[in-house]
Amino acid sequence: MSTYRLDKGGLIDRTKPLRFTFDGKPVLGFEGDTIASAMIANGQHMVGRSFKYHRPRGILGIGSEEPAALVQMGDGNAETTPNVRVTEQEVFAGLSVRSQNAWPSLEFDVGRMNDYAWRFIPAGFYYKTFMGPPGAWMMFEPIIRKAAGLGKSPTEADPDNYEHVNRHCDVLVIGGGPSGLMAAEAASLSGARVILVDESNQLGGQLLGETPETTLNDQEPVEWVVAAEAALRARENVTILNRTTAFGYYAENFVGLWEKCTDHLAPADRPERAPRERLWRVRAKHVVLATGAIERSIAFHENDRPGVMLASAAQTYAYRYGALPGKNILVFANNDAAWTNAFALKEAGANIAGIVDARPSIDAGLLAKAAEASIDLFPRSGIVGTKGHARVKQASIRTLDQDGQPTGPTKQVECDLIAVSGGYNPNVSLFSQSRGKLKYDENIAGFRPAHSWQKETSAGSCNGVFDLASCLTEGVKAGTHAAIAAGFKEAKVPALTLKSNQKTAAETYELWDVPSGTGVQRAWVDLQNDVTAKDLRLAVQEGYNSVEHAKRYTTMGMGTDQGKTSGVTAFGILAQTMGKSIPEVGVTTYRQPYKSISLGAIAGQHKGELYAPRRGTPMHEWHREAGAHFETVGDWLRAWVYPKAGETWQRAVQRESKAARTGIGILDASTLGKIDIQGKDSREFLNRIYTNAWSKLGIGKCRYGLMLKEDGMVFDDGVTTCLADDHFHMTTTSGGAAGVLSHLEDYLQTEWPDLDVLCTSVTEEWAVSSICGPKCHQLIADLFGDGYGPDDMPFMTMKETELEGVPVRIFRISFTGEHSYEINVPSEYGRWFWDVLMEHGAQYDITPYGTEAMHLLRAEKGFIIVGQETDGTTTPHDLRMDWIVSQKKGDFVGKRSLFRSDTVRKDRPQFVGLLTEDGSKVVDEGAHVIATSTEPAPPVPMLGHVTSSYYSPNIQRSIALAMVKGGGDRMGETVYVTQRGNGEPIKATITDVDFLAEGAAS
Amino acid sequence: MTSIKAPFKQAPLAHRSPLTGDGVQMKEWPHLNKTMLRGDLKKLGAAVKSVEKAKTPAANQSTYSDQSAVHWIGPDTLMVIAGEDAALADGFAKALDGKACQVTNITNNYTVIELSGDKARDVLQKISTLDLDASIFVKGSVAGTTFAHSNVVLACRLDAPDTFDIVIRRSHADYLWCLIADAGYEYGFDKQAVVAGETLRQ
Repeated sequence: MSTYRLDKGGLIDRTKPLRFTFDGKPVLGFEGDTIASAMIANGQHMVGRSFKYHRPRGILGIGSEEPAALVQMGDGNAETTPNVRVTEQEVFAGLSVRSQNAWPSLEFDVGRMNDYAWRFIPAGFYYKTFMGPPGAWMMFEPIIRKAAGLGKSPTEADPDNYEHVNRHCDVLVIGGGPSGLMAAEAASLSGARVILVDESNQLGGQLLGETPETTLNDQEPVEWVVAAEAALRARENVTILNRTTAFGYYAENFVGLWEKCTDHLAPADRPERAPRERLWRVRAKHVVLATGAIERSIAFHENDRPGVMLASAAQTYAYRYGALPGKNILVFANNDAAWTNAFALKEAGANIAGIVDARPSIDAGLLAKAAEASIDLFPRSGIVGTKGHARVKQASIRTLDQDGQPTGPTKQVECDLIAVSGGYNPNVSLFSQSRGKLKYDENIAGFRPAHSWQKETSAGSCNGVFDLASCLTEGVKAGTHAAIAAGFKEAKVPALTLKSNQKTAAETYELWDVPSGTGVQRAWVDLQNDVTAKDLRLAVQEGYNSVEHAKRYTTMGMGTDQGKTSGVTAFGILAQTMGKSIPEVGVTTYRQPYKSISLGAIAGQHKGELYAPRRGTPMHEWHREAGAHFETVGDWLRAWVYPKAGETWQRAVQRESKAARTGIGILDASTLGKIDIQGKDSREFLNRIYTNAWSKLGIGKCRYGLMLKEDGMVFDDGVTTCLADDHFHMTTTSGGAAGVLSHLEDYLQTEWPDLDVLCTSVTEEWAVSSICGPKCHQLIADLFGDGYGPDDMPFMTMKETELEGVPVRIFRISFTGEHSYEINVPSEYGRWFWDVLMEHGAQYDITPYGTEAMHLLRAEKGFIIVGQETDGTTTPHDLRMDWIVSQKKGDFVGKRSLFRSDTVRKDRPQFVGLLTEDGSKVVDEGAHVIATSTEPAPPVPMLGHVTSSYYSPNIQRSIALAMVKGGGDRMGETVYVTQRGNGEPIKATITDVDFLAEGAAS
Repeated sequence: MTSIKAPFKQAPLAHRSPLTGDGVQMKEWPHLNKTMLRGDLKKLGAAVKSVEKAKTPAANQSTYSDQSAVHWIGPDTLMVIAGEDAALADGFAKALDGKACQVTNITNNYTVIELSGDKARDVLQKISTLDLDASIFVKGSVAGTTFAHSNVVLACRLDAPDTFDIVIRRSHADYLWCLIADAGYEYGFDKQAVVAGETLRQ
């Protein structure tokens, strides 16, 4: 047995020894140990070094409240986890952990030089370098970043699985201590669906550290816990989650839970299919908060040495883990609970070197009991200094006068542990996150829940009630109340017989820090961020009078522990310094998360390939097989270009674009949004939604429309076809489909409920193959026979037919200006029909073209792309599409906005073409259009910008589209287009947008 | 006229095989005939009764006849699903002609994924934020909801409380298949590699 390991007791399995390494050195532990308990059993308290001064740091607490005993876990570049609390991480065979923030080793750390310079690194040091002379932060930053810091982030991708799980329940009980167990018992007996979560590997909370003197129903505490847990687990309506932290309490009783599933197991023992962590998203009808209380320290000179530990933690190490935290323990307290701890530690085998109690008066019973146990007493005294390096070995004690100042001679007491208790803070973090209001309670010198906003009830220690009997009864009450609130009937909970001599901190003497009496006081409040009582006082002196400001200035409570053990102490010191009461000073806001959770858990399974859908059309596989390159359009993957072997994509675009105007080009247009519109008022509806008139569109006829929002700006465009007098087929842009349907439904449901119109999305009902080019009607004739040629089927018409029994809709629509058909077949036949077109089009050298060629082809014709030419600030008039805005029909969405003074301005940017003087020069998309041949000094007066730019293989020169101020009246004017870098602006002429017509004219 | 190769249908998940885990199974029901009905619920109900011999479903419920399922989608919307050879749209178009209702054939717009087994709810609960407890989402329940980035209709079969039909948009089907497979990994599903690896635009 290791030197500090007790022969019996605790929840460790002495038959299962485990060896792990700390900084490469083997440490022996047992199953059930945490790293902390195993290290303590081996006599080692020093774990790491502090953030700023690199001072040795030991183990202060027992669980998630631990501020400073952090390690780096795992050696792999992918699996390594920083800032693991040794008080929470269970040991397993082969576990490897390393101290953090120490180099080259924990014992000999070069950064400890910072400690000798401590006077020069005061509170607000970082802040002062930010705000100091220019360049100060630039100079200090690299040095500070190297010296400060916690663990190291992994450098490689995380190989583990994480997942989200959603659950609803009637009653969520947070905390599995005495109150939580009883709440779960009461709620589950009523039949409510109960989820009980506990941070630790074992339910029981404070009961696990109780002495066997305490009994519940004549059972020892642990026995009782095991029985209570078994009873709960046997109920189908109860879910118990161990190693699970409720990290965030959000609106409407939505609570985030973080479950660590496998980190406590050796890699070989981890179930292959289990995730490493789960993030539970729970919606509870009622929440019972049974989160316990967190003991706080007292700030005294040199209180940061390893071996200074919270008194309750010291007892718990002895009784829960069978690890004696010290053999010669000095206790320092301001309340009765620590006396109970002292007696328990003595019972466990430690010598109590003395009890130092700062209170002016102490309960006679306790004094008598201590005397009986021959414990040295130091009443109305405080610790004013310590000695020791890797572990405390001596404390200096002085009597305190009526002002709390040290007086009289200094007594030196040898010890190997200082068990300190400054009282208990009810763990109100989640309560506060739920928007609950706190109230300062002078009796416990801490904040407790006052007013609830959400449906939750606090029970037990987190409610400021510390004695075990009350914790149990409050648990029953809270569980019963929660079940009733969730709609269940009260169940009878069997009565419990409790025997306990435990004393509590119900009467706590307000004491935040002890003056050293020497003029130099380095009394730590925040052990992780190296914030001392002096730093807090300095912050007040420098004018940081609000706790929120003082917190940020000193970095108090801003570490991974979020000041769980130190917060209230800091508020106490700030209040004292300002000469105010604590309630006047208040607390900083508790925010989610309660403790830091991994990014893996937040991402869950939604990462990598599962991060977002990859939507493919029915012809997607064909494009892949053809070697297409794809571009993303929303979640769609669209074939962008089909380069042949050895061909650059730029050349491929030129080839494809040429083919579409000389032979046959074929485009997969399936992603177009499609909406089926039915109802006798459909025409009126379209009149109101689009800017142009729809009253007279004949059956089988198609029309292009622009859709505006209320602000008069172009929102979407597309072709809508009349299938019957009361039946229309609308198409939208690929990216805009969902937005357009919402827009239509919004108006139908809220503005025009009187209209008899109904809409249903059919975007994916139809696969669309678009063929284009002078020979395309021959291919149509080969497949469908006569009746579809240029003379039989005019532009902007639609015919329904069949091919081999498959229904087909043939639209004479063109987005290229070329003779073109858009052919719709049911999606399941999409691939078949595409194959047919490719097979029968081969004789015409049919050429698939992608979206890039499509963009080029429509630019040749001067057609807009919503989102490329428009940007949400573009009216139809800005596009010089006045012809599409009906002046005769009634109102339509956005009409009124077209008559605002700003929208009728003459100098609004307008849609024009640009032809460069040198046709081989292609201007940049997004480039500025200016009036001068050289770029003047900024700010450069802008005429507009280029929206689209290509080299056109069909016109054999560059073409560009642009938005230029008052462009419609500038035809023929010379302008200049800036280049990236410092290139000379390119000379160009403003033209109309239809380059095919322009080309034909010239 | 030239000879044209025989038509073939391709279901969205034709490239996937059914998955079997420990207490959970997943497969696609390809090619099912589907129709969306919109309009006054009483009129839709009458048509559902005459065409499919099914009752009008109450809110958030489905009704089933021998040949079809009728899902309540909203106060003016029903989705009817039947076998591949059914011609629901034609039948409903006739029944609702002139009644100010919309009948839309959506056979190709969606596919149906069936997830079944006593672990099915646990699998779904990793993706769905609804309360899918067996006491809440009982047999015959239906919900229009989102699964991660996808819109779905989720229905619990009337004859089998652990069998779910998930109606999903065609182009979202592969994503959802893989997402459910991932959620079922714990219960023995093989992880499914998303159709990916396309060369993307530089």
